[in-house]
Amino acid sequence: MSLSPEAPVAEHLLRDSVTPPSYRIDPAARLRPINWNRVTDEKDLEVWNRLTANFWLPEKVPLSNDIPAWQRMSQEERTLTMRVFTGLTMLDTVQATVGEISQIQDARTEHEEAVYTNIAFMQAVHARSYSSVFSTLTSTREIDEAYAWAVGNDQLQERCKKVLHHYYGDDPLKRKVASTLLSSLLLYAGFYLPLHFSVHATLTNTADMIRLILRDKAVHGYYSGYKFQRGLETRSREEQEEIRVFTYELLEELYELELDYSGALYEPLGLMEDVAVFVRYNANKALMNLGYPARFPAEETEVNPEILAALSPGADENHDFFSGSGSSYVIGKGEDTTDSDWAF
Amino acid sequence: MKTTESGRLDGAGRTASTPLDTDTSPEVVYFSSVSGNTRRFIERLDLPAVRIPLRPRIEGELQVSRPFVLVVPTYGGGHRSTAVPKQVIGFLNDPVNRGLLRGVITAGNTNFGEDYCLAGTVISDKCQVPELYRFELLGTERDVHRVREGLSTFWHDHHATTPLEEYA
Repeated sequence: MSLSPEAPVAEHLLRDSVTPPSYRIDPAARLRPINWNRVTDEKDLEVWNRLTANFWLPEKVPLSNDIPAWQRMSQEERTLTMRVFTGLTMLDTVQATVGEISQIQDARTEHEEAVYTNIAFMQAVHARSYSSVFSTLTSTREIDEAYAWAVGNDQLQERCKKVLHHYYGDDPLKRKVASTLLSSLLLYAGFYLPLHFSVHATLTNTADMIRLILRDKAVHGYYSGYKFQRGLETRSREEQEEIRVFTYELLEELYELELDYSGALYEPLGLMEDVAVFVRYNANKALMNLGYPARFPAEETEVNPEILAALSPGADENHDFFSGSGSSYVIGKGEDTTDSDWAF
Repeated sequence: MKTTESGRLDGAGRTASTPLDTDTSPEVVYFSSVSGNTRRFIERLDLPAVRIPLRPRIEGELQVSRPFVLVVPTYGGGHRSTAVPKQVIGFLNDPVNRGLLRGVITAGNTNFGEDYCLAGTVISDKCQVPELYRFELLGTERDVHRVREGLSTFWHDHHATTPLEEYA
């Protein structure tokens, strides 16, 4: 039987329907397929498009070009690299299999549910990518040793379990806070190392891969933070204050843990002071993603300029016309863009 | 906060669908998406400012009448053609607005690497105005302070060298 174009849509059917995650609370409700032609929050589509445009795989990065550099590194540096990357793998595993997936049940729109599946997959790609570095540069025996170290390291275990506790808890907003702090704070002591090596022209292809991961993390942190703020708006003043206090307390706990965990790794190479600055700088960014003011003052977050340049060549003082002599500001070179809308 | 005669403009981001007159057209024009990140920076800046409409077809187009500095977020992801929000492109496609643009301040995230604050570079290229400042996400207290002080000096120097009639 075919419908005529004028036949009314049974709107009550759509209105009363639910998306599949709601089966758990109401098995009798009718299920609705996702409709990307009815987007209610434009951020969902915008972020989906950015995520898919940014998609990459570690196989595209010529990691084997780092073999000569790896062979020149000291045993101490190699062990540090293995441990730091195994630690990153641990966090991305938590995020791919629990952190992102656990937020699906809290989604405010059906499209948000889909975005988390995308982010979860990308976190799994990140976790996979460190294994690509290992298999390219080192031996099975060394890899197994690094994994045994990760399982046996109490601080690494505690960092993960602190966020997992909230992922399996009952407050959707605390889940988002924990997720944002993992993605925008905990990972960065690890990211520091390849940026540091790349400053010294070591493991530069691995650093390129890390830059791809950093780009993804920025979008993930932005999206969770955005949805957190939309959720927070619906809470009472008292609840908002409770969440704010919770956020700063969790940040403090994770920061202290981070100093212990990373201290043991980086202090032997004399890098810990620099790493701590980088962690504080990123802790402030995690808070900003959640819509909160910075925790650490500017003097305590001045990242080593070499590391900042390795992260982003455009983050230097040349783009602070206001603080300079007034003669050194940058005007663009007048290249053409390709978008036809942008033709004046 | 300054308001237009019809009371449609204020620093919190309401917009006008008719051209702003020279008495009330503010020196800061900004764009902020529904996330409101750039809006929060502007609120802390505490200077008269007008927001480029999020939905110009519904809210009306904005046309300014005095020189201004643009504050704009970068849409990250490494694509030059999509780095500038389309509402900002629409606003700058108006030759009157483009002619009054004096500088650009950009919000971004260093995680985007070479594309950090790419929107500022694109606008600076296209409109031949300086990139005055870059800040991350909501901006820190230091960013707010530097931009407030910097804009004050910038406009002081600008007004000292530009005759008033050139504003028309």
